Amino acid sequence: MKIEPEKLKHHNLKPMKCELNYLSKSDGSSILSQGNTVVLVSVNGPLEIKSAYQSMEKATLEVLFSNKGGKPSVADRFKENVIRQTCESAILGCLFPRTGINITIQELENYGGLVACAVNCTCLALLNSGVAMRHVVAAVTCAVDDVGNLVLDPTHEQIQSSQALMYFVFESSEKNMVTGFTEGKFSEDTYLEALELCRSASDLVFKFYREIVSKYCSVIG
Amino acid sequence: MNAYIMTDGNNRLEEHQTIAVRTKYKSDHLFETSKSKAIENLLSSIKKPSLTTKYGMVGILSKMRETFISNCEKSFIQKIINAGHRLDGRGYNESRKLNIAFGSEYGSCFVSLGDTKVLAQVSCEVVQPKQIRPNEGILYINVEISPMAAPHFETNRQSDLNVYLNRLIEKCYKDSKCIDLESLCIVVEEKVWSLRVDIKILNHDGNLIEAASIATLTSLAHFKRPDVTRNGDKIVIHTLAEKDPIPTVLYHYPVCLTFAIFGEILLTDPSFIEESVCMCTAEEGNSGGGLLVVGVNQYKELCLLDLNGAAIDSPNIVHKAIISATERGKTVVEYIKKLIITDDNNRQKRVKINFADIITNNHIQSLARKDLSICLKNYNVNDVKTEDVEEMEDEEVVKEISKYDVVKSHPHTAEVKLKTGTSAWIEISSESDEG
Repeated sequence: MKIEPEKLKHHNLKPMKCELNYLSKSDGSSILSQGNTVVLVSVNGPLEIKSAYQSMEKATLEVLFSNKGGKPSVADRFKENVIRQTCESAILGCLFPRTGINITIQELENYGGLVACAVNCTCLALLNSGVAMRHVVAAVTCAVDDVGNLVLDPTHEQIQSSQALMYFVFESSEKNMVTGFTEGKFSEDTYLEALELCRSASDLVFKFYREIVSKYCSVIG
Repeated sequence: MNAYIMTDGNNRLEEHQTIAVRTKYKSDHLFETSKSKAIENLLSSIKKPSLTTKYGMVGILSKMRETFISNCEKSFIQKIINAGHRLDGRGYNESRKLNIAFGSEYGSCFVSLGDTKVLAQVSCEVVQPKQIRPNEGILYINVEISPMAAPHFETNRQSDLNVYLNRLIEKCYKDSKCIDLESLCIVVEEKVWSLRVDIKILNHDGNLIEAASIATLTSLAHFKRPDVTRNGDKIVIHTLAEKDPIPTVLYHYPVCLTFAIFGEILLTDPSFIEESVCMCTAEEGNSGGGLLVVGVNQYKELCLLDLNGAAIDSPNIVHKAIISATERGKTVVEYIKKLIITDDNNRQKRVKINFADIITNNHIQSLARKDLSICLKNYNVNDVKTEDVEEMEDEEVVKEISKYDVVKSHPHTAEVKLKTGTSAWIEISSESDEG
């Protein structure tokens, strides 16, 4: 299934705003807003960790997702897992055996697509920290509305009224899917269509990464 | 950890109960047998901790540790402070820039004090009241320090600092009774509101106590809980759209202010390095170092006092600190109140308020350090100018004095961009005027 360029032009991602080096004590940090959703990520590492967690082959990733308020929940652990597995595929961990890389994610505002925003922000923080990576990753959200149409990067209201929600993460080199998970009911065709739609939309995210990194790299200080 | 907390002398242990309790937390086995005997033994065995024991401990620790302050750093900081300077160019009584941003929800705020950044969020739920206070709501305060604040904090483990900070904030806001807990009651003995304040430390650059307390106060004052109506036995909680939410009632606005003690000198709003140096000197048993936390409200009343190190036996310092704290406390509270009023007006005008507003392009830099944080007071660009010009053989003097500009000459070379930050850049031009 191929999506025509015209159709893609019609779809747009929510405006993204990003600042790197937001925290002075972390090795790498970034704050990213996608629409009204805002996430702050800090990356520390590679650093020494407890011998129980050390791996002879590659760096151990420690991901901590911290919600805005209230008690930590199972949903937070799930997000940690998604982000850890996504990052494990992206980071060249074999270069830093027996060390740990610590990723801390702080939710600031949640108006839909929090996991996608967290994955993108983590990727930017990793780029900022200078950890060697195989490829960068971009997460895109897609919703199926009550009529059955696909909505790319849905807003808070659109998510409330949708019948299904899909998250896809793509890598930059081959545009293969790295992570994918869904909520709700949908047909197989809808899934495949959404996959292609998000795959082409991930280009916009990669373009944004390039803009941000080149903006920061042209400056010394 | 316990070894060098308890080596400051017997009297200090007795006077500083909070520290003693905290140590007990960590080392139950020590206190189990005989508390006083264990302390005596420890004190006799280690009269003064030497640096070797400290570094010896670092060797065993498996996790990344806080970097120790070297002796030359320590003596340098003490020397310049005695000479009337501070590393970042502030005066003794000068604080770093306080910045408060509000989130889209009620009761969420982001406080930055210089580079120290703290996030606070208030949430509420209906719970059963405590048996002894059937007509009072509940206030719960939770401080979290994640590895985001600094790499040496561990995930999901409470550090000493965490417990200390949590207790101090609790003392300042719960025990000073600044919140009208009775107004949080819905049905006596059955249903009350429970307010939960979550404070997340995002960046630790010194003076966490002040930043966390300002964040707590601002979020509590900003918070509004949903309205409730009683319909016979039923209780209806209205959504924000149905009925206007109710603000929290605060009798007074207490705020904690920290002072670092260097001999007779008091430093307002100590930075990370100043804090560590003065805690180091206190731990080594030298009198003349220590932190002093003063909680005051807008009526210049004292709400909390936390004495540490040198503050314990010099009432002069405490007195001086309280006088200076009352002044600053008043201005901070007035600033917070003003911000909340403007934010309320903005919300009524349906202006979208979101944390996305704190993302700016003011500080684009490719290295982690934000601005040049060290500045020397007596340093004058005009004094050094002549030397500078001689050293830079290729680059010639520019028209404007004290301003040099690095202009890119090739498409791929780096350039310095002027920022709107505090430190002014010295611009150096590579375009030669005089050959």
